[in-house]
Amino acid sequence: MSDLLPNLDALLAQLSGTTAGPRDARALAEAVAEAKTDEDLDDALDAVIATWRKP
Amino acid sequence: MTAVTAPTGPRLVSLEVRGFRAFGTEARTLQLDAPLVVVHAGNSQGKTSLAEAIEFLISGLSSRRDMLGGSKAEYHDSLRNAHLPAADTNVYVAAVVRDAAGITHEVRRELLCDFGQGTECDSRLLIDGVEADNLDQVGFPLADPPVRAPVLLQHTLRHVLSTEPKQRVGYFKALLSLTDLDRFRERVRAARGRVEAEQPGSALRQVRALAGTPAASASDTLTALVKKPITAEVAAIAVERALLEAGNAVLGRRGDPDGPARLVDLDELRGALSTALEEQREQAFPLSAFTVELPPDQAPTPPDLDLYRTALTGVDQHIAQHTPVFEAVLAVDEYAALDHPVDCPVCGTGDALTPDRLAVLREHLRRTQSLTDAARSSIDALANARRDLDRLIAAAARTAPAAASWSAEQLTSATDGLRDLGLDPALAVDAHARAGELIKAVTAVTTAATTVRGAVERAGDAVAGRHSVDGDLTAGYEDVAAALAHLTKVSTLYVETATTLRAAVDAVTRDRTALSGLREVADLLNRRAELVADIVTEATRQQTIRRLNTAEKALSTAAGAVLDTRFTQMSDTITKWWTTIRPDELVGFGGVKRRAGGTLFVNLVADLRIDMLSTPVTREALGVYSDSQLNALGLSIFLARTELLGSRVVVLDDPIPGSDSDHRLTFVQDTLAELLNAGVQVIVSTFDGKLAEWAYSSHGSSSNGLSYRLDLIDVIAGPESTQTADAFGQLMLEAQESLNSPTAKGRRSACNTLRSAAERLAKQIIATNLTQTGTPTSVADVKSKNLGDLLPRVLPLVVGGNAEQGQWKLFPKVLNPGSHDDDVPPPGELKQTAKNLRKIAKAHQSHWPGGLLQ
Repeated sequence: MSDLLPNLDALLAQLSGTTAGPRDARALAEAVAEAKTDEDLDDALDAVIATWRKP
Repeated sequence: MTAVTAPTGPRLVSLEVRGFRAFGTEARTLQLDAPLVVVHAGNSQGKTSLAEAIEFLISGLSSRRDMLGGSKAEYHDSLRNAHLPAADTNVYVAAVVRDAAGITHEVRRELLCDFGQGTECDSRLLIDGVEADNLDQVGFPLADPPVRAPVLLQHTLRHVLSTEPKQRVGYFKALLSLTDLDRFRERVRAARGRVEAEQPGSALRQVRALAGTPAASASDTLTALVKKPITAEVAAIAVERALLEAGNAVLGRRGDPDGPARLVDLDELRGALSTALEEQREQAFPLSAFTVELPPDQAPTPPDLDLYRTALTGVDQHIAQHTPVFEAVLAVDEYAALDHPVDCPVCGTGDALTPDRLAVLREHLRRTQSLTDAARSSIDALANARRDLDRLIAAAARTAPAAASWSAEQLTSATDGLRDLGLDPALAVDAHARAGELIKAVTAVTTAATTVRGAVERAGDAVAGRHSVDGDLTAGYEDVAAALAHLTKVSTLYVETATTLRAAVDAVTRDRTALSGLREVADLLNRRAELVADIVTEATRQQTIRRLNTAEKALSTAAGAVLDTRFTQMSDTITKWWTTIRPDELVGFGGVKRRAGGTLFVNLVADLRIDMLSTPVTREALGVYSDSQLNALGLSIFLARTELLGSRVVVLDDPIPGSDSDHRLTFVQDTLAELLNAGVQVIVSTFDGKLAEWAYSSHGSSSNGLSYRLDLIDVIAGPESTQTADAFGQLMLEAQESLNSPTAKGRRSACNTLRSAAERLAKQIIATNLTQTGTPTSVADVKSKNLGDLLPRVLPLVVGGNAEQGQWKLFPKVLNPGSHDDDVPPPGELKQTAKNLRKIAKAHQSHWPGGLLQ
C-alpha cells in the first residue's frame, strides 16, 4: 500500500457493495494503491477512466 | 552519524539554537538526553521560543502563523531574531537525535528565508551533513497539517476549540491522519472535472446549428443519441435517418401528394442540397458569372516534319507529286489485277493504262516507299497539331468569365447586389476589369492559335500532295506560347480578384441563408462519419461522468464510515487522557462525533452526570465546559493524537494554565506518568515553578530527568539555559545580576558569588578527574575549603594551557579583595572574570567524556 494513501485499505473495506457505485469506486481505489505521488494517482485514475471510455 | 547505544526509541539528545525567535547571537545548547526534561522560565524568557524551535526543526514551519489567527502579513520576519545584525544570516536549530536503533545523528535546520510578503518561510535540513526533506528517517515523521510536529503550543491547545465546526473536521482528520482520503476523493473529483471539461467533437457541436432551422427536430434527435451508450453501427443508422429527415425538412420535401417526393438516399440528398445552395447564392449574387477555368499548363508544340522533308529531297520533285496519283490508281481493285490495257483513269487516253505501265507504277511506288511512310506520319502529326490547337482555343475561351461580356447595366446590377449584401461594390468592379484584361489575353491566344492552325493545315495539304512544306511553323507556335504565358499571368491576377469576391459573397450569403438550414445540413452530411464517431465518443463520455459521480458518492459514504470508526477510536483515547487530568469528575468527555448528515461538521460531546453512577446527559462540550475543562480537552486531544500517531517525543509548552492549579498535581502524577511509562520522551516547559519542581522531583530523579531554568538576561545574546542541578551555572546567573552594579555593595555580592562559582568549578574538575581516573568521587567529596586550597589541585588539570593556568591564578587575586570594604573590583574586572570562568567551564565540559560531574 502506498504511503500516499495510508487509509486506502480501510476505505476499500467499506466498499464491499456489488452495485455500480461501490464497484466503480473500488476499481478507482484499487488502481491507486501503488501511487507514490499525486501524478501517479492522477495517472492511475485516468487509466481506469480510459477503460470506461472504450466504446 | 556516531555511536550506537542501547535503543531508547527516537529521542532528542541535545538541542542547539541560534538566531531563532528569542534566541539571539549566542548559540545556546541544552542537553536533553533524558525521558523527562523540565524547563522552567518566567514569562518572556524564551520558553515558547524553545518549543517553537523544536517544532521548526521537525517541520520547517511555524504553526503559530496558521493557527494563531490574524493575517499572514502579521507574521512577516517572525522567525529570525529581530536583534540579529542585518548581515547575520546564521539562523538554525540543530540537534543530536538518537533513532530507534540507538544510532545518533546530527540534524540541523537552517532558516534560508523568513516569512515575507507573499512568501512562505524556507529552510534547509541536513541529516549528518546530507540534505534531507524531513526527519522521518531518524524517527521524527511529519504529521498532517496543521500540527505537523508533536509540539503542543498555546495556539495548538485552543485551536481546535476556537475554530469553526467546519474547520474542526479538517483538524480532526489531520489528527487522525485521514486527510489522505480527502486527497484521494479530491483527485477523483479532479479526474471527473477533466472529463467534464472536454468538449464534444466539432461535428457534434455543429448539430446545434440546426436549431432554429426547419431541421430543428433532427438536432434534438441527434443530441438525444448521446444520452445512452451507443455502438457505431446503431449511431450510423440513426445519423443517416436524422440527416435524411433534416435534409427533406430544409428542402421542403414533406411527402405531400402534390409536392416533391421525399429523398431516401444520402447521395441524392447531397446533390439536391448542392443545387439548392447554388440557387440560393445566385439569387443573392451571380457568382457563376465570375467562374472560370485555368489556362492549360503547357503550350502546344509544333509537329516534327523533318523526316518528311529529308525523304522528299531523295525523290524527283515532279515524280513525287504524282505518287499520290499512282497510289490512288493502284488502290483501285480493278487496276490492281489488270491484265489488259484500259483507258487512263487520270487523263482519259484510250488503252493507255496497261499491265506493263501498272508494273512501272508499282516499281515507282516501291522506290518512293520511304517518302510515303514519312508523309503518312507527318500527316498524322499535323492532324494532332490541329486538334491540340483546337483544344487550346476552346480552353482559352473557358478562361474568360461570362461577366467579361456584361453590359454596363449588368455590371451596375451586380454592384447593387453587393451593396445589398453589405459588401464593397468595388469587388465586382475590380473583378470585371480583370475579366476585360482576360478577354484580351484570350483573344490573343485565339488569334495566334488560329493563325498557326492555318499554317498547319496548309502544311498538311502540301504533304498530302508530296509538295515541299513552305515556311517554318516554329515561329507561329512561339507566338502561341507567348500569348498563352500572358493569358496565364492575367488569369492568375483575375483568379485572385475573383476569389476575394467569392469569399466575401460566400461569407455573407452563408449568414443570410443560415435560417434555411441548407448549408448546415450539407455540412453535416459531408462530416457524417465524423458525426457518428463524435456521438459514440460523447455518449461514452456522458456515461463515464455518471459513473464517476456515482463512484464519488460511494467513496464519500465509505470515507465517512472510516471517519466514524476512527472517531470512536479517538474518542476512547481522548477520554483516557482526559481522565488522567481530571479524574473522578462529574463532567466528562463523551466523544467526537460527526454531525448527522455528513463529514463536514464535527461535534465535541460533553457527558454531564449528577453522580458517578448516573447516566450522563450529553451536551456540546464547547457550550458547557469551563475554561479549565476546555483546556483539558485541548490537551487531551493533542495527547490522543500523539498516541495515535505513535510519537515518541512530545513537547508541551505550558500544558496547564496557572489558573488551573487544581489539576497541576493530576497532570504531574497521572498524565506525565502515563506518557513516561509509554516510553515517550517528554519535554515540558512551564512558567509554573511548582509544576516544574513537582514534575522533576516526581519523575526526574537519577538519570530520568533534566531540569533547566531559562533566563533572558541579554536580549541580543538570547535566553540562557542553566541546569537547576548545575550549581556553577546557578551561581554564575546569580552573579550576573549584580556585575554591573554601581554600588560597591552590589559588586561585592557579585564578587563573592563569582568566587563561589570558581570554587564550585574547581571542585567539579577535580571530582571529574578523580572519577575518570578510577576513583569515583562526587563534587561534595572534594573537601578543600577555598579557592587558594583548590588551586594547586586544579592547575595540573587545565585543558586551556598557560592561558587557563594564568586565569586560575588571577581569580583569587581579583575576587578575594572583594570581601573587604575598601577594595571592591570594578565592573570591568568582574565581567572579564565571569567571562573567563564561563570559557573554562565550557572547555572542560567538552573535554571530559560525559561532561563535568554536577
